[in-house]
Amino acid sequence: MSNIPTQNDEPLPEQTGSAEAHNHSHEPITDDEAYWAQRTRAIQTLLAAKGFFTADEVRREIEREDSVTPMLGARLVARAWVDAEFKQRLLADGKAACRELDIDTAEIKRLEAVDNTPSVHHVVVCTLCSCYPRAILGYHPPSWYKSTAYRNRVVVDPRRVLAEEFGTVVPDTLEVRVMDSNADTRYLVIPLRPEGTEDWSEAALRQLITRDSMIGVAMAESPYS
Amino acid sequence: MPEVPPTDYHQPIPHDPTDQSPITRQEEDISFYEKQIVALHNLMRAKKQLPSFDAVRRAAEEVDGQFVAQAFSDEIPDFLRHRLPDYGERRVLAMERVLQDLNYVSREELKQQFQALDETTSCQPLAQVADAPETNETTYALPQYQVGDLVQVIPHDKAGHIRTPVYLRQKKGIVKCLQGQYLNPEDLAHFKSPVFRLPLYLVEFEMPEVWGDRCPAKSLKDKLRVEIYEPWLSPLP
Repeated sequence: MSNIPTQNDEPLPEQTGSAEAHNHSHEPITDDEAYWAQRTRAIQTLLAAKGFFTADEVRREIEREDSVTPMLGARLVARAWVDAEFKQRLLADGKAACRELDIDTAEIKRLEAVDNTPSVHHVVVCTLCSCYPRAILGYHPPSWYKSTAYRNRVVVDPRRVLAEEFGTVVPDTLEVRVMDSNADTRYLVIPLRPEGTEDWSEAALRQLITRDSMIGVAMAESPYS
Repeated sequence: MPEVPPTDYHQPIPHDPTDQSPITRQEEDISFYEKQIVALHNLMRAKKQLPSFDAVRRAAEEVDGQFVAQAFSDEIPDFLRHRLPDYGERRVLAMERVLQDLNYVSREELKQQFQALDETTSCQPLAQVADAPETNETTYALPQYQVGDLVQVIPHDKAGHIRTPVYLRQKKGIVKCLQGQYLNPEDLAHFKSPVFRLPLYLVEFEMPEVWGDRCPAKSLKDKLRVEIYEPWLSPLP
């Protein structure tokens, strides 16, 4: 917003841009965004009035959820790449391994890390809704992950979806294992550690670990790219 | 917390194996209201005012069924009736349903508050928050299957919320792992009591078994792994 005063002599218009001024129109709302915003606000206001929570708690919860990014998953994977014992603990009990790194997974009942190897490539989908390891990859999965096209297609023809839609070609010699995240477990893919990173630090390795590589639609970034 | 039976128009999540539509990679910004409804949902769950996330999943399926059947009442305005609600919109409608199921809010209160158009509340503030609902749990039985057992998904056509994908009905697989025992989400979703704690298995299916002639030549040796609750399985010799 600019604070530079206007140069002309016309009176400034009345302030009409605030949400309150707009919302007090008595025309029915037909704009989708405004409509759903109002409908959601009504739910929050009612629940707050009934003492379930305060508006401040909601604001803080939104901030908390916004602060969760795939970097948490990248920390787990990078640690697993450099520390074989940690990797074994991560594979044995994902939630316990998260606790070691102070990553809060309270909402996840069971977290399973699945290991991509030279013989198996994992890719994750939820054909029932959009189950996703939100506490470690972010509270809002990518739009394509929630799309019916991805959910319908990746379980039937995973190699084509990966190659044509994501540019990820899985060699014929590897088994593709599609994990349908339909029930209580949330999956985190440990992508293969790229060649040429043998002497890289854990911090440097994290930069190669993308969200998509932890869903299994991509490989980790190459150090040469 | 009375049980909520399946609605006539409830539909299980469909799966279309013939779908060839493109996967749009462009990622949309999340609207503020969607962040807000997700936060409200998570907050209510964290405070144990919602016994699980499953009821909202069930309600979201009801919302879809309602739009498909065009079984509308006045909670859906005309301008929204001609398309399925999108992800965030469905979540708002599903939350409204569950909050009414639990008698936390009434349809009338939601309507009045929507009309109030600001943050002064139309309802009477309560001195005390509603009691958190309790889930009456019971354990089903000792797990019947072991790793390596051959199993078949039953053809059961159960009404209401289900967590076994429809594409797996009657498909044969092999038990790879016992994941643990978990409260049956199909009970939780409808606020049934008691809720059974069920053995949950990771079952592996060969792609040709699931897709038959539709299985791509390159995926003949690929696998699908899906978690299945014990009552959905039958033993195979």
